[in-house]
Amino acid sequence: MVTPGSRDPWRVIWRIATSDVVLAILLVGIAALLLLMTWLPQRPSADPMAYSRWLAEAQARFGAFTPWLQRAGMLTLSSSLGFRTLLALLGGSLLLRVIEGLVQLRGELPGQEVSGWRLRLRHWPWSRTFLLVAQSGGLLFLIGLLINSLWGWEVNGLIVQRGERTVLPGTGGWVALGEMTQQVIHSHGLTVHIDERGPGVQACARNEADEELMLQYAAEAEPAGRLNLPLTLDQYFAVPDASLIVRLIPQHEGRPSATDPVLVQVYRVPSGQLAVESVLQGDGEVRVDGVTLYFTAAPYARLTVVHNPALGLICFALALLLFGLAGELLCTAQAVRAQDD
Amino acid sequence: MVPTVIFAGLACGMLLAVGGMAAWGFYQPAPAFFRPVGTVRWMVGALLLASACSAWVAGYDFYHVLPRLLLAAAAIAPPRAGEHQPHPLRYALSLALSLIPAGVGLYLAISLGANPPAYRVPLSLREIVVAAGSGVGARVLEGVIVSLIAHSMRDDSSGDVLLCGADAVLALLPGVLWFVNLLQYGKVWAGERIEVHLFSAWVIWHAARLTQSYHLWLHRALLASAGLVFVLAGL
Repeated sequence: MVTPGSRDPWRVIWRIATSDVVLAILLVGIAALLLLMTWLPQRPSADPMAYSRWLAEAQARFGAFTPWLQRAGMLTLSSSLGFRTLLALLGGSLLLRVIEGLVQLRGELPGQEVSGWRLRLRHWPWSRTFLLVAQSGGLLFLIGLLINSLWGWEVNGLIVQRGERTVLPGTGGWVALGEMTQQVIHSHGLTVHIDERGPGVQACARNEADEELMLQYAAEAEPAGRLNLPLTLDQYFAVPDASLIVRLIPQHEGRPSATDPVLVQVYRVPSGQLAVESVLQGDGEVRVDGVTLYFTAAPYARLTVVHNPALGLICFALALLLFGLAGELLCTAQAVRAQDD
Repeated sequence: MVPTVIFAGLACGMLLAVGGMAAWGFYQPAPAFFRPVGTVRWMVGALLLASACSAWVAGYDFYHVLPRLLLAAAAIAPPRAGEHQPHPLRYALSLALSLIPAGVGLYLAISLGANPPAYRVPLSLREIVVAAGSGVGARVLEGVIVSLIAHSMRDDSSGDVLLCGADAVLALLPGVLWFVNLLQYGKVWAGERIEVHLFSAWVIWHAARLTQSYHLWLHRALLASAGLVFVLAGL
C-alpha cells in the first residue's frame, strides 16, 4: 500500500527508466561498444576461412594478449550479453517513453473549446508529437534490426559470370548477371550490390579435325568441354589431349573493369616452353600446334547479396526517426527564437 | 596540389595577421576593431574551404587526413556569435586551434607534393557526411576546449550560426546515408568501419542533446566526444 508521503517504487523505476540521462547513458554505452568493435577485430560467426583469417590478424596485432582478449570476451563483443542487454534496455526505455509520450500527448491535446482546424493546429503540442514520432521511429528501428539479425542473411564476395544463374545454397534465392553486367537479376526479397566488375572468359578448344577437346581446370577437377573462368586473378587450365597449359592474365591498373584486356599465354607440356602469347580484347581465338582455343568474353561481377526481412520496417522506422528529429529541431529553434524575442 | 598550397598558405598568413590585429585590438581596447577582424576570419574560413576542395580535386578524397584537416581548420576559423567584444584568452585559443590544423595541412600539402592517390571514387554521400562531420566536429570540439581552458561556463553555442545549422545537418544527414544504404545494400551499414564511427558519433551527439538542459559538464563532455569521433572517423 502506498501511504501518503512514501514514494511508490514502481513510479520511481518508471521515472528512472524514462529519464533523459538514462537514455543518454544507454546511447553512449552502445556507441562506446560499437567503437571498440571497430578497433578490436570481432570473431566471424560461421565461415572457417574467415575465422582463420581473423585469428591470424588478431594474433599478428595483439600477439600474446590475444587469448587474454578472447577470454575477456573483447573479440566477441557484438554477440556479448552486455551489448545485447544494452540494446534490450534501450528498447525498453524507448517503449516506456513512447507510452508516457502518448499519455502526455493525450493530456495536452487541444480541448473541445478550441474549434476550427487552424486554431487546433496552432494549439497542437507539436514538440511532444515530434518527440513521440522520433522515439517511435527509434523503437521500430531496433525491432527491425532484431528481426534482421534473427531471420536475415548476407553472402559476401559471391562471384557470378555473365550467362550464369547462381543458386544460393540453403536459401532458395538465386542471382544472375544481365548481358551488360550492369544489371543483376535476382529472386524476390534480395538486395544485390555489385562490389566489383572484372573480365572473364568462356573457353573451349578444337583440334584440326574440328573435334572438341576437353579442358581441365585443376588436377582433381572433371574435364569439361567448356570452362567459365572469372579472372579475379591469373587463371590456368590444361588441354590434356594437346599437352598444353593455358594461362590467362587480366591486364588492368588499379580497379578491374569488365572490359579489361586479357593476356593469354599457352605453354607446351612437359617442356614448359611458351608457345604463343596474345592479348584478347573481347572475344578471340588463339591457334597453337593445330589446336584452336576459342575465348568468349564473359565478364564477372563480385556481389554482396542481402536478405533483410525487415527492410520495409527499417525504412519506415528511419523515415519516422528523421521526420521526428527534423520536426523537433524546428520546434526547438522556434522556442529559442521566441525566448530571444 | 599548387592551388591547395596557395590557398592554405594565404589562409595561414591571414590567420597570423588576424592574431596580430587582435593583439593590437586588445592592447588598444577598441570593440569596433573586431568587426573587420571577424570578416577577415570568415575570409580565412573560405580560403581554407577552397584549399580542402582543391585537395579533393587533386585526388585526395575526404577520407584522407589532408582535406579533413583543412576542413576542420575552415570550420574553426570563422568567429563565434558575440565575439565582437571577445575575451583575449578565448580569442587567442580559438585562433590557435584554427592555425594548428591549417599549418599541419599546409605542411602536408607541401610534403605530399604532386603525388595524389592513383584512384578515387566519385564524391559519395558517405564522403559528404564524413566531410560535414569533420567540420562540425572540429567546430564543436574547439568550442568545448575554449570554454574549458578559458573557464567559461556560459554555454554560448545557441548563438553560433554554424553550430545551429550543423546541429540540423548532423541530426539528419547520417540518417539519409543509412536510408540510401538500405536501398542500395539492403542493410543500414555498408560494412565500412567509417560508417560505424559515424553512427557512434551520431548517437553520442544525440545523447549530448538529451543532457543539454540538465548537466552542463556531462553535455560538454558528450559534445566533445561526439566532435572527436566525427573528426577522427575512419582515419
